[in-house]
Amino acid sequence: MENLFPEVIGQESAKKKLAFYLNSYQSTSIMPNLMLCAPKGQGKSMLAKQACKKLNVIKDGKIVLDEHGKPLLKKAYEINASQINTVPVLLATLQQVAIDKDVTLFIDEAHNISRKVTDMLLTLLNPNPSNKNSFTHDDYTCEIDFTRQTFIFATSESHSVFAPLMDRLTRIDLEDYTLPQLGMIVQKTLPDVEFQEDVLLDIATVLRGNARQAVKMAWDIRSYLCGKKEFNKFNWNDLIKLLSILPLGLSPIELNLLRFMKGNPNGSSLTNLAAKTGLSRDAVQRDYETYLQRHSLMEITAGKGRTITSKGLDYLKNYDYSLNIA
Amino acid sequence: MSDTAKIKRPGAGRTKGSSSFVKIPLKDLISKFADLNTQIVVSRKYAEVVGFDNLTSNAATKIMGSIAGEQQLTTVEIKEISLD
Repeated sequence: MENLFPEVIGQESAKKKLAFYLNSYQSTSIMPNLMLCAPKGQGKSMLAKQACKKLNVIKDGKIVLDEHGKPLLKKAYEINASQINTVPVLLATLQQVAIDKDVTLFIDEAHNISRKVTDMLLTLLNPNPSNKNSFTHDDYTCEIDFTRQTFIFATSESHSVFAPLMDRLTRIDLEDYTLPQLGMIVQKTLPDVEFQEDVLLDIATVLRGNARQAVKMAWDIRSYLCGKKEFNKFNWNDLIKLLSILPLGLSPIELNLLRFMKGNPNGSSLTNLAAKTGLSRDAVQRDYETYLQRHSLMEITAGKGRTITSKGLDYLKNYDYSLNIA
Repeated sequence: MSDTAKIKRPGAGRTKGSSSFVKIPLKDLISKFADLNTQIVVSRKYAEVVGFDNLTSNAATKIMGSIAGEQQLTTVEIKEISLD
């Protein structure tokens, strides 16, 4: 199948699934309403926006052309779900940009949709043979026609999306990026820079598997190079010192947590870790423990609670060794 | 107490006078508001009849609140995605 998304690095299965629906859209004029699921910074918005660029206007089974003879694309709008917090607001928004128009609506952070708005969306997005739904609120009725309006949602917290809403949408999960793919994103962001040896792979190890971090790192490299066009391992080691980048891209808080757990080999509770860092228990659990566990640097056991693993101890040993050498 | 006694819900329903209308000559309105950009509240039905499209509806209480400076009218930031 033709690669419809040459701009997007990685995410092969998501791209294939999207390409499948986009190809069938050309003959059916029906694009399923989508829900893109992935952690933050994995490229949900980018993929959604690329999909918007492939959705053209189809009328009576024929592709509508613009004044230059090219397929006319559906207008596309991006809205943050936290802003459409009531039914009248969603109705007013749809009235403004979607009703009786050929559009794609990209609604980001879908886990922030309120319950009442979710109920309305359950009615509007319910799949049915006529591909049309209407919703009445007070004296106003709004009608959605799936041949004209396409909805793309995105969320980093799919578990918080109301299950019946998720059922009405076609879910596309994004994959983790490999180290070479992250390196390619850095290179793509800085096409004029020549990265020597395997420095791109070294850079990729600190990007926490995150495409947005790769782009931000590329910007830091551009700032470091000040117009030069070559970047080698010596430059990378220099940048590591300048920006205090830790191995695996750990944050200073995660390093502190590892040190705290090393000092408490009999185990620590989540409350202990929260008190040590001055963060809430939720923040420690959500923002820091997950990444440490992902790299097997710490573990949680029923009897002891949170402990550092042998891999975590090796991490600290190697890091302290590198500090002494420096 | 009767079985059919009505339950009174405080705050429910329309406020007194909220659905009655008055006629005011346009010149009187203009003389009242020196700034021609002043927001004038009209019913959505009236606005539609005189040909205004794509209006954002807001609850009456919210509109009155915004006039009194108590709350902002709902505005949703809608970004058009560049298709180039």
